[in-house]
Amino acid sequence: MKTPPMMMGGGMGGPPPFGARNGGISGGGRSGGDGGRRPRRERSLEEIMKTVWLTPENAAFSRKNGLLYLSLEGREIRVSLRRDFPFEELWSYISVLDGEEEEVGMIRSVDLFGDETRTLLTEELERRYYAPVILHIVSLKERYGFSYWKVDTADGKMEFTLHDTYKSLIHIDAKRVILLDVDGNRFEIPDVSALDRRSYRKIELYL
Amino acid sequence: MFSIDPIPSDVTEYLVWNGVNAGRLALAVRSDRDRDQRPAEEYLFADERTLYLADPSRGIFETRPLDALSSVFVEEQLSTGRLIAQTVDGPVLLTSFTNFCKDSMLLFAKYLAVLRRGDPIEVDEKDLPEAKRCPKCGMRYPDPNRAVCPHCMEKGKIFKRFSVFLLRYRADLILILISLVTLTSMSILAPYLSSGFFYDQVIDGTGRFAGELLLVLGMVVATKVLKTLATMLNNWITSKVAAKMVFDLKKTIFGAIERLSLGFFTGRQTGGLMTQVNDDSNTIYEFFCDGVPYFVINVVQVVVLTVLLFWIQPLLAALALITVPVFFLLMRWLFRNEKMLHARRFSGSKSLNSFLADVFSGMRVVKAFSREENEIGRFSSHSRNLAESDKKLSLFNNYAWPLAGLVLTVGNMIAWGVGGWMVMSDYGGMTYGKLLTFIAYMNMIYSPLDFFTDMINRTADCTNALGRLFEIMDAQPDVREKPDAVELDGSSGKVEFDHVCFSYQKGRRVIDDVSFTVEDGGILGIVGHTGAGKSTLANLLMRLYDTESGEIRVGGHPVRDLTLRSLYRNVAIVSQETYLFMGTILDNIRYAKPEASFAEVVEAAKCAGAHDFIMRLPDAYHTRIGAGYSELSGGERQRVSIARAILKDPKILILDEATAAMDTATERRIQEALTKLTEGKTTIMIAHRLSTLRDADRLVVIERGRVAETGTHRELLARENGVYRKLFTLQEEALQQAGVLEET
Repeated sequence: MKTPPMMMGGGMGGPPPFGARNGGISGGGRSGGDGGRRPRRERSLEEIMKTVWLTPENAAFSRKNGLLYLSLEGREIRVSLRRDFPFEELWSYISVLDGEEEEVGMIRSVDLFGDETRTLLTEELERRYYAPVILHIVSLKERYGFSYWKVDTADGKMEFTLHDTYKSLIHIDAKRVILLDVDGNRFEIPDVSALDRRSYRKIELYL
Repeated sequence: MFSIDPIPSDVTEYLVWNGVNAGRLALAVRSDRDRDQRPAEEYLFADERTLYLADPSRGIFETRPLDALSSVFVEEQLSTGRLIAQTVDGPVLLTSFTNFCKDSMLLFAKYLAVLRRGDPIEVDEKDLPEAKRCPKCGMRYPDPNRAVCPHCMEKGKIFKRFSVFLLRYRADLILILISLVTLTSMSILAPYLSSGFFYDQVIDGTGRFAGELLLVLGMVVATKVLKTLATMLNNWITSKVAAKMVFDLKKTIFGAIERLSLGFFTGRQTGGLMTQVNDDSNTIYEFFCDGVPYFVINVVQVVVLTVLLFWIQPLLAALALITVPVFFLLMRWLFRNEKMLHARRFSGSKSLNSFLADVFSGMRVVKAFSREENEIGRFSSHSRNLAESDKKLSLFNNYAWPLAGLVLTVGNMIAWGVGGWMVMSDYGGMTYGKLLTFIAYMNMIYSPLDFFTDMINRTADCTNALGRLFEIMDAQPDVREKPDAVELDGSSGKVEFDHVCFSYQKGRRVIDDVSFTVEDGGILGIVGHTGAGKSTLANLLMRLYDTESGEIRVGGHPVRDLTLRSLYRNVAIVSQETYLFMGTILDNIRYAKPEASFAEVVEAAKCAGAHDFIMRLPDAYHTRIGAGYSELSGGERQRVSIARAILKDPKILILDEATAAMDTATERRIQEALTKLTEGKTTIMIAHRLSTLRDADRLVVIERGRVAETGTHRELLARENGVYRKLFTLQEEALQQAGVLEET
């Protein structure tokens, strides 16, 4: 089986890891300049291979000071969520990672949790995987290997720049395209063929 | 105040209104999302005591005393980020932002740390907003490391700059132009002689050359001969110049690239540049040797022909040329569509080819999982796509070009109709001969037209290619030799790392405050998990990159003060990724010391344990390796590269997982070779297999870019909860198990 065209580690240098170098729960942030770090906890092979399924029975999520926390087995740790299959399963197969980027457990589906927690998890995921949907391409200019875009998105007008347009358009499937700009922003066109004719004409050459 | 982003005056006023002393503010930044990541315009300010967050449009004003924050850092998500403050009560989210604001936020965090320490802010020149924006259009440079604004890059400037390069070929270009002028004038003369002139002056019986058929025929033949000669001359020069110019261009580009530091090659923006080198030189050559001369000639031809047409019969010319603009527009449209279809066909065939390459090289897996049926299905779908775009392209070609021909015919019909009427009614001195010449010329006007439409695309392609060329030529190597750099004499091989910090990407530290010393002739082992930053230390010592802060000293000199040549001469690296160039084994061993004698080469190979396997190869040291030739195994390649390092005989030797690709038996043999090699040399051994490090005097354990432990093997083992001890026990167990397996 061919792996789907992942963009996470690709040309863009990949998204930087959560927490690890910023301290997360484990101490001071390094981007800020100071603070120490807890040494990595060695995990046994058994621990690595075992999947802890998080359910309302064993896990409770909460938000404190704008950040997500998980209470598990009497511990409260700051966590971040990752989609295991970000292009297919938006609300299922969610890995919960701690500040050291190690998996604490997995969520089979956010629907297993009650309304409040589900909203919390959904919000966190939407924020992490934020990619404005392009509704209309206002203008698209190609200059010396860079392309300058002006688009209307669900979040309003946006302008961005792509480097090497062909490579910055990532085809998820026949219809869906993700654009990666020079700053590392992501934009999405869920269905290219559903774009209005004038927008389609502009992007057509790069498809 | 250092405003990382422009701050609107009403925001500052809002702060003042809230009682902030605006004169004391030291730092300001803008964020485009709020805490819940909704679109917003939030501003963060700081003075030496307080952090402010303000959004006048929503009436938000918050303050936080700086001394309550132990740090402020940026946490990156996918396309967004968060600014988080560490407080006694745990981390607090200050604001979120999209990656548009990421660089600004990283700067904010960086300078906030300075403020918190109580130091005055001294802004690094490269952090100034002016350094990041194009002074002309105000847009941010797409690549922050290069002050090139593609948006404002002027075509004129690019071509002007390139003309210097072209001057080298001026003699050839002039000859090309002369041949083209001859060619064109002959093509204009020929129809006149064979049609208008022939009818009116020769056959008609009343003309000046009546009856002198042979003379006129001779003239016609002469023009043909001259035209052929001009064509031959043109072809001869062009092919001569082509080879020379493409060669020169490639040399220039390659030379410019070679000069750059390793950072350039690993930078994401340049991956595409490299593959373009070949295509670009061809594009540039084609434009200047094919495109420009033809363009000049065609412009002249169109002008001359138009003048001639109007001279023959102005009214007829005006009527017949109505179709020209229509034709021009039509051609543009057709070219655009054709290009698109070609692009689609190209990508179709590319994906089919890569699919085939993928499947054929993975045939074992396909068979093992019995997925043949499935793969055939995938092949069909790729193949169908390609066939579909092929069909579209040929359909297009079949209906589009006849359509263009139709427009031409319309022009012709007008000329024939109106012209014929003119000849019959003897309007304006029109004769049959003149009409024939007229129509011949008119058709000649059309052929340059389609060239013009294509010229627009070619100019764009060429400016792109030139833009990239100059970009490479202008790129500054990150690692630069000081003008007063000193030679490393190699008398001492002492290596010191002094509080070294380094990051490949901004804000993402790979090496964090690493210090250690290796005495002259000493052996240091560096241990750590994969990805801990061990190889980066080697890269820094080789000065493939420069440290962010801290200093590396070799033989007592900071590496920054040394000439790169003398540094490279004294330091050799045998790394986990061995790279052998295409050529013979001999060439590869001699790579670092081309003047080495055969005896030296053999000795080095013997030291590296490579001699035996080399002698088993049919052509021994002359065995060709590399693409298309015999392939060496991983262990063999490594031994060749060790031989290469031995031959170089450096003062300092870095062994970066040098024996990782070998089985235990081979490794043991190589270890012996290495012991010989490392005699009297300062050696840094990097490994995650600890058995490799038996001979090290001292060990440094690296964990996530930091020195976790340091000491001798014995000292480290004695540590109760030490990282090394844990690693060692784990590996010992694994080795014992492997040993058992080997025996059975």
